[in-house]
Amino acid sequence: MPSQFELLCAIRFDRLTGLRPYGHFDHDATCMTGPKHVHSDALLGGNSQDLCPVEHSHAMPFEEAFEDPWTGEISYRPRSGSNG
Amino acid sequence: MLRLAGGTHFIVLRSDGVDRRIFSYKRFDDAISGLEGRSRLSPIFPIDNAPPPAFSSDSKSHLIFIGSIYPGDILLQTGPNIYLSLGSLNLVLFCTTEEQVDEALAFAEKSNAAWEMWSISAGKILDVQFHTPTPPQKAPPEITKQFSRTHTVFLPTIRELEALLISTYASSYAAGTPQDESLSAFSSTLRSSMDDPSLTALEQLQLLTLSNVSLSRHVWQTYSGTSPIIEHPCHFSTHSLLGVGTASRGLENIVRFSEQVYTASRLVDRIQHLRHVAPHSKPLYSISSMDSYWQRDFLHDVTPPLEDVVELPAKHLPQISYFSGRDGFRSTNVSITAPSETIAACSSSSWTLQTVTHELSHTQVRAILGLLLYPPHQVIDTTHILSVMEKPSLAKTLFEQVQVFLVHALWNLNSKATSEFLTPKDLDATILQNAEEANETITHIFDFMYHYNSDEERYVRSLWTTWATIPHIEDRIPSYVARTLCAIHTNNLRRQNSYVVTIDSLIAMLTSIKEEFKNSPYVEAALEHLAGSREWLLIALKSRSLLIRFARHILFSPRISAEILRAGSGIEEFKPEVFAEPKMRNPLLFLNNCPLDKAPNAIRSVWIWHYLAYGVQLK
Repeated sequence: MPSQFELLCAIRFDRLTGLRPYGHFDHDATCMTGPKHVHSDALLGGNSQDLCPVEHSHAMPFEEAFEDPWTGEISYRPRSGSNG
Repeated sequence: MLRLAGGTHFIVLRSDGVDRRIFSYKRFDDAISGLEGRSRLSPIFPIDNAPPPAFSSDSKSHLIFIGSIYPGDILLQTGPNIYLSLGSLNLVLFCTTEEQVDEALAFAEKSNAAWEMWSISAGKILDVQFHTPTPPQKAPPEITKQFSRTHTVFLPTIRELEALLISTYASSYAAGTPQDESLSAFSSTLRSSMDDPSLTALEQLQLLTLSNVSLSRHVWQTYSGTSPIIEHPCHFSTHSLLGVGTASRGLENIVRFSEQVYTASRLVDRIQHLRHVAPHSKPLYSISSMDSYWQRDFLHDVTPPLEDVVELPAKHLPQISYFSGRDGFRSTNVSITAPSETIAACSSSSWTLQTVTHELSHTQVRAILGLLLYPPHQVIDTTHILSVMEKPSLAKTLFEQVQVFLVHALWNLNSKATSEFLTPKDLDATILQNAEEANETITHIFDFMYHYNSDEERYVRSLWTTWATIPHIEDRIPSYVARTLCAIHTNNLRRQNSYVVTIDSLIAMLTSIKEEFKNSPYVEAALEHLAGSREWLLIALKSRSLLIRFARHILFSPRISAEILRAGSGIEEFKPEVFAEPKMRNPLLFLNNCPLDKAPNAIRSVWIWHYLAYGVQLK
């Protein structure tokens, strides 16, 4: 049970060994996978440009959230350009 | 005393959408031959040679599932057929009389256990009743509170986690095994870690994703097969009826025990406290292993009792445990996994749960290396480290000297020079280049010293028989040999001709393992490598000598190790396949003492899982 301090130390150590995002596009001899976000984002009506299922995903540009002041709902800002 | 005896039986539930029927088989091939889309299957393990339940009889019978029960506590006088399952409802009783039913339900009530009862006639399930001892509870705010919505692309991942936390909480109550403490701690520590300003966006996303993966698997593995059983199928085909909740809890208990031990040891806090300790007169890496300075327990003797000077950390993250066919033994910052094969085969050398300790060691070592190489809010100050390396008197604290020891060891890993002009940039590159190798090497040494009590034969056998189950690792043989040598070399640091002694002893041990496990492909390859690349291995071992000394002298505390090994009792009284008192306190010691089978043995594995799940008395 790492303490929060130990957890943050371990995360910083990961910077030295390279981040290994978990659950992205991957394939082996018998299967192909995509991140769950693609599926759930589509279900929730999000704009999934950041998570389009291309074979080689790249670093995702993180944008600040847009929060609807009336509903408190978070939605996506429109993006310019295409991900293709 | 209850004894697992009588092999394995299989029960299959079939449904045509209207009626449900239950069948029993003695052979697995017969059980799967008639599987249909709605069929579900699980093994059950007879106590005292109970025959397969006679479901096809025209007279009315009852199948009663009770959980969670330590088999040594079962006391039934009326003679129902008794079986164990790997599900959360781990006790299965086949009752043919009303007296047996009454006694079974009274036993469940007295044990404050969940139960489910199927009334059966001619194989048809006529009625299902169940009872859970814990009424539903509303999840506390630590679990229901919204996560910060910091980045748009996190939203699906955050929503998944928010729903998952609440449903996990509810599932634990529905199963009669509330997880308030660990789930609240996980949720609360995860949230505050996510809000730490030192984390990048990608690191936040990684924490979220890892948490989702780990929790979702943990939930279906722990709570499949809970009441109503028919509504909670398990994704493992061979356990689709009753699930693997017992094995899941057994694995979790190993992790929880280790967390208790290492939380109490406060290894990372002790190293952190060296910032307040005056430096030694000489650089630590220059002090010979023969020197009396290393005779003492470094971390214990240079730090005061931490309770007097440092507050206990308020937040901890209990790591989530689960089985994975793909990941095998693996650890991340939030999870520990074991191969799904261990469910049926953990009694064997190839799939022994002892290997979990390597992953538990990674958790400690990653935190220690992060503390030393990447202090909070800044990359290590290599300009200062370099100046201390050049002029040791500049070290202001023992912590800095420990940092220099480690960095020097990393530089040694791939430098053939005895002295070299270095810039801070070179040192940065050295750290980046060697961090992963240092992580793996130190983890091997840490595991060997703390969890194997520096027992070379047991360690080498465990490593090389479990590696035999991983496909296509031929290219890793040289580094696996080097890491094994590093671990056992900690026993030879004070010997003359130590490198040769270490290499020769590994050759002797692997030769013996090869005789015993004739089909192990990598042992043969390792021996060829040891014979054909002896000079290369001598250089590899020498280049790692500082790292070995760092791990042995700085990270190993004999007192903490003794506490880990002492924390159990009565272990010598355990007899395989028999359940008796006393219960154990130390699952790691239990695993150390479990005799290992050469081939997988499902019954012995079920015995191990039941002890780990219900025979452990954690503090």
